[in-house]
Amino acid sequence: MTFSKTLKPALLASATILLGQGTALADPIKIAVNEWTGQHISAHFAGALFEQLGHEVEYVTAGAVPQLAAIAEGSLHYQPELWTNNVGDIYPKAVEAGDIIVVGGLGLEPQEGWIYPPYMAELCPGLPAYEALYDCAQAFAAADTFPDGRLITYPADWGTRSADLVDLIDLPFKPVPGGSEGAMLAELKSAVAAEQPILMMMWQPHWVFAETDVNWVEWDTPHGTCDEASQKRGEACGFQQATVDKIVAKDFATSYPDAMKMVELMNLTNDVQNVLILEVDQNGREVKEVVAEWMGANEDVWQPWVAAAKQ
Amino acid sequence: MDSSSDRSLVVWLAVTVLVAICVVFAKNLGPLVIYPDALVLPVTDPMNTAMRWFVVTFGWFFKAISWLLDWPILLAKSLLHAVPWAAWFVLWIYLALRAGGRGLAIFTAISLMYMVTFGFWSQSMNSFALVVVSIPMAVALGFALGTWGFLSDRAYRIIMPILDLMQTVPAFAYLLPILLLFGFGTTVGLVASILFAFPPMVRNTIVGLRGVPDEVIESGLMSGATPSQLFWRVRVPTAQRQILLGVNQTTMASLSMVIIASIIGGTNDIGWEVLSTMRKAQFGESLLAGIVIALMAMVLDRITWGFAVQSSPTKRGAAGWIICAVLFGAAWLLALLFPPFKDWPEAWVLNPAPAMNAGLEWIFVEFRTVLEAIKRAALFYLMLPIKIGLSQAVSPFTWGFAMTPAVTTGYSLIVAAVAAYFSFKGKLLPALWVILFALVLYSGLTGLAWVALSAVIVALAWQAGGKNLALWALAGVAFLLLTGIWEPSVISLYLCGVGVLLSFIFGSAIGTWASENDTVSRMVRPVIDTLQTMPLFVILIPFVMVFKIGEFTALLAIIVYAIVPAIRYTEHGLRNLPHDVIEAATAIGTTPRQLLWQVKLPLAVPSIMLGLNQTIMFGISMLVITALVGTDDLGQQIYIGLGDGDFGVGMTAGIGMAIIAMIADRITQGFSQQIQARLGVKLNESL
Amino acid sequence: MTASSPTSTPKLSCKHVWKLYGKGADQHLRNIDVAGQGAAEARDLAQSIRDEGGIVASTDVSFDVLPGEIFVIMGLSGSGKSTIVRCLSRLVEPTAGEILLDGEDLLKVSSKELIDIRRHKMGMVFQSFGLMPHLNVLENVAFPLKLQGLGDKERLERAKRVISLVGLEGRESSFPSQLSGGQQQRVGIARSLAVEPEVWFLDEPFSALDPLIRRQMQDEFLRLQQELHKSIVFITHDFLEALRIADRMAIMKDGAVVQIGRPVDLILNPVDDYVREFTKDVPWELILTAGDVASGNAPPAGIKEVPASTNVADLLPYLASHDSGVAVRKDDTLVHMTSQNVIAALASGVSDASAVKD
Repeated sequence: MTFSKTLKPALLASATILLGQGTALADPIKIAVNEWTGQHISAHFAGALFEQLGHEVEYVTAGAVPQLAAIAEGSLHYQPELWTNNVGDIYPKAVEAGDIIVVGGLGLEPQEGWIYPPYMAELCPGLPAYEALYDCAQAFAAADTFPDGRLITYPADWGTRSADLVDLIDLPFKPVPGGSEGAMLAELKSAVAAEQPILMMMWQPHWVFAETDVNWVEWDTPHGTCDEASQKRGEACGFQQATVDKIVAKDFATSYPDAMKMVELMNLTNDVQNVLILEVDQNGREVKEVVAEWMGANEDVWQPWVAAAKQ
Repeated sequence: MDSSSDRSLVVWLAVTVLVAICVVFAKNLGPLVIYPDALVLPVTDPMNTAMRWFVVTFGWFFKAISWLLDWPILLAKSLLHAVPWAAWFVLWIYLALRAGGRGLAIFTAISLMYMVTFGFWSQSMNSFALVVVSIPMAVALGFALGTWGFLSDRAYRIIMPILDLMQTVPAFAYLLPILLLFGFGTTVGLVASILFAFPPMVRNTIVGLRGVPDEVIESGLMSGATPSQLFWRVRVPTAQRQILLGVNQTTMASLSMVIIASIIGGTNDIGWEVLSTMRKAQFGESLLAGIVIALMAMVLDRITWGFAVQSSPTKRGAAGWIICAVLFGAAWLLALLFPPFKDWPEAWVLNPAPAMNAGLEWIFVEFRTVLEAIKRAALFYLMLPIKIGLSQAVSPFTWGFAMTPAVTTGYSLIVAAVAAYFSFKGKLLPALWVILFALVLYSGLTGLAWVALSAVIVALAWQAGGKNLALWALAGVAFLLLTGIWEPSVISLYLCGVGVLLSFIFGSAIGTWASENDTVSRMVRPVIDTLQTMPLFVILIPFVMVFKIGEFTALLAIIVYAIVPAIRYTEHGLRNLPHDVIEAATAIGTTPRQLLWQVKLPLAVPSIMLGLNQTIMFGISMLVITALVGTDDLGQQIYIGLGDGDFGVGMTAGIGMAIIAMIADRITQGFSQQIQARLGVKLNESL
Repeated sequence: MTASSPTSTPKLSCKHVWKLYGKGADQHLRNIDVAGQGAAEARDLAQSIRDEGGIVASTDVSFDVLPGEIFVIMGLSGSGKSTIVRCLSRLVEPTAGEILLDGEDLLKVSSKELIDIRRHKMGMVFQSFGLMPHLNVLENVAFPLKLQGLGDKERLERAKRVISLVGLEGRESSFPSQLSGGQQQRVGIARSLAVEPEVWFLDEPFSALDPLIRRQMQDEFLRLQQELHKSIVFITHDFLEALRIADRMAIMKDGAVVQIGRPVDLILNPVDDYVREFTKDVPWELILTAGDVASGNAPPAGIKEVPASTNVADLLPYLASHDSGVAVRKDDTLVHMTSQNVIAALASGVSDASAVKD
């Protein structure tokens, strides 16, 4: 059959490729890649650093929770940017069992909460305080939620934190799951373009804030950390802010001691990531290229890490 | 006839009474209205445990396969990239020329130029590598299973229900188990693509092998064929056409998985391009990338189809191939001399995306009030009544008045009058259906007691397919209830129901128009071809921008996809009626209008019913996509399962969708057969 | 038509062949000596099997095909004629009985030997041609030879030879879908002849063709047989076709053979009304020859002498004006034939003679 006819030369060709790249057989370090650009930058930054140490790197696309199973099991090695508010049951269990090692914070300071465009302040003068929302819910209403206000929450598969909060503090808003990041951004873009009302759960760092001017709803100051489950009107702290951790697989430190050292040292801040995200998402450049360019301009930041890791 | 219609009457009377009780005493019936949580079986945990055990025990086996599968992809990629686009160009145009003549060659050339000039060549080749590897594997797997199913009746009985399930369970539902078993990376996309693409190959192989005429087999035997000669030299070549149609369908299915493969194992391919631009809500960019997939699909479809249906296999000599090879070499050489023929310069890339985005923005800003009015009308007067019922949807804000006892009484009186009219004319069954419909509309699908809704579904199944189908429907409903996915199932039913209803009404109207008017037909065809091959994620963004997150947008997305078979089958059915009947009717002296309404449409009913059946299937398959704009249906459950890594939740929802699809399929088929039997017409299924 | 002497040993023998279908088909005949029972017993047995819900496709069918003979099996649809020809080639496995080819029981050979026999000794032509749609004329004809693993050169040479035999030169590279029905059947005939078979089965080969083409093909078939002298089993539902080509024929009904004999025997001596029904529309004068109807008496001297093969039709004008009749030369002897003999022969085919009584 024609298949076998094409297969034979193909196999020969693959053999040639194999011989040509003997090192390709060495086990590469597998870095998890998630769905958002900020994480891509962290991942490629980490990858570039590992390459400085002479390691082969493979970027593997994986969902927020499946990646944890993969790291716990050892088929993924490193996730530089794990948002701890967006993990299922599996994460704490795996950490407790020692299958996932938490190396520490990446240096990002994320923020999550409800956003609205500035023109909404005119329709709802009490903003940014959340108390104002009780009185001007109708300003945020839509046909399918009237008379309640319309609140776009995270997609259903990201959890129900906004909906829970609305319940707890008896806000006259109807939570509408956003469905996907794309749908949420499409909604935000079109609302802002047409100056229509919108209130939406959002996170940063995110490139959209470079393009669109928004305000964050402000909450009561919590005593200590915010406990999302026990809030009520008058004592609403909003959302417990996430931490962003670097996590590695159990055997990572023994398999790649120098890379482990690098993981410990690696650090990335909001400012740096925001700049790079903008380059990628707004100017349409490749993540790899943007990261390389930044690294070229900021050798003083990461060269010491390489030196330390090589020891 | 009489006794069976008597029995129908009794059944529907019982159902109507039950529904009436449930609607009137909704507040007092507690667990009969809302299915009690206590009666939900905890199936997801055992499923997860079983899956975990399976992964731990047999994981090494699948990982090994995964490792093996990596190589062909790597190989295909390096091969596709090593050859300059100009050289591929020559090869593809030659293939198109042979498969479909000059028209197809021109279309292929335009499509390839699109990929090059819009800067998608490299991504396209990465996607194509996946397709190129997955198609032969899916074809081989499908052919092997098809042959097995052909040779062994027992195998056939095992294979067919599994195929049914695989084709109705949405691909997203089995992504997670694939991920867990095969690990992470491009292989997962490949495996998903193979799994999704092989079933049509199995079906066509079985149909083809079975369809070989007895005399051809006998002539093979009399020619002294050994069993293996009989199979490979007689059966397979004779079934070649059908088998190639299988290859064609497998190709299309494999392409449709390009996007989904990117979700789990995204590399720098066209699916990833669509996904990541969609995630950023970049309408223009995602549409441009989506068009690449549609073009690829259309080109591959026409070429494989062309080779499959070439009725007289005219064997042209090797001359064509030699010319092609020479030109191929020449193009390669050209690319070496002029680099743009290998790598299209960045600066030459066309990018109309910003203009497209601006255009879309202009539309939704300028026409905001009109669009909003359309949405409100659909929501208030159609969707909400079906979802939550007139009892709740009617309010001063929506309809301008409240559902006071007086209004309710008026509603009841109107319904009673219509029902009385029907029963007066002796049509007792329709009278009952009017009452039933009015009751359901009053309480809404989500407000209707589970007992009542289940009874309606089972009774429908009984009417369509007798006791057996009723039992199947009962088992299906029980599954939905016991696994605790009843509520999202009802939402799915509502969304799909409204979507299918509108798709069917508009679709058959357009199809009828297109069958009467060649210009319309010519204009409609490329549109529905594109809708069918374009990744539908792309459509979501503009819809959200215009109509906002929510069920109306989801509904539009369903309609856009599900309207395609309604148009297609209606036009096909109306255009392919027996000539003698049309001629006879014309000879009698019918006007064109009479001809359409009294001759053509009744005769085309079987084909139109098949269109309805396909519309339902398409609608259900869209539920997974619509979950991306924020619905609470089963599709959302699948994402939750995928996002949480919860195999049980995702799989239960997936099977639930398959069950709804299969019950709907059997019910429409049952009614279709009854109508066919009554009309005495037989369906010609070739489309 | 080649006359065959009844004393030569048969090429192919079908002895007490039964074919049953349905559940438990094998059980009915398990303890029965099919060879030992008479025709009446067989008929009763078939009826009892049918009463029990079995399906009897062939009931105790026996006949011989002599070397070089055209043996026609004629019957209406459902009479079991297609089943029996498939039993002869073992495309259908008989439930009981013997099929002797050159004295060897075909039903006892292994499947490997059977393939070998089919490859070298048998050829078959089908009603709907049974051509491979993916092969052209030349490849279709050469197909059986290819299966045998014959080398390219010899294969194509032999295929071309038979193609020219059936008059299809120049169409070698056409595909079946590009040919008319008559041409397709020529390909079918050529293919079946390519292996140079000794026994040739034709299953309603011309039934799917237009009447005019059918007639042409029959002539062509007879011409071929004059050249090739195969032992032929020819199935048809067309009595006239059977008369035209048969050396001997069998009429079948409900799976059983009703009568076997030369066409003339059937016409002149139909065993029952069923056979007589077929002979009714036959233009007898065209079939009957002087030899068939002539009396056994010696002719008076001095009358006109004609050969035995003269058609009765040609003699009618003469007999009408010459009461003394003609002398018919049968081999070496002369017999007498008058218009009385013609009328008597015609009368034998009329079942209901009560219209005019003595």
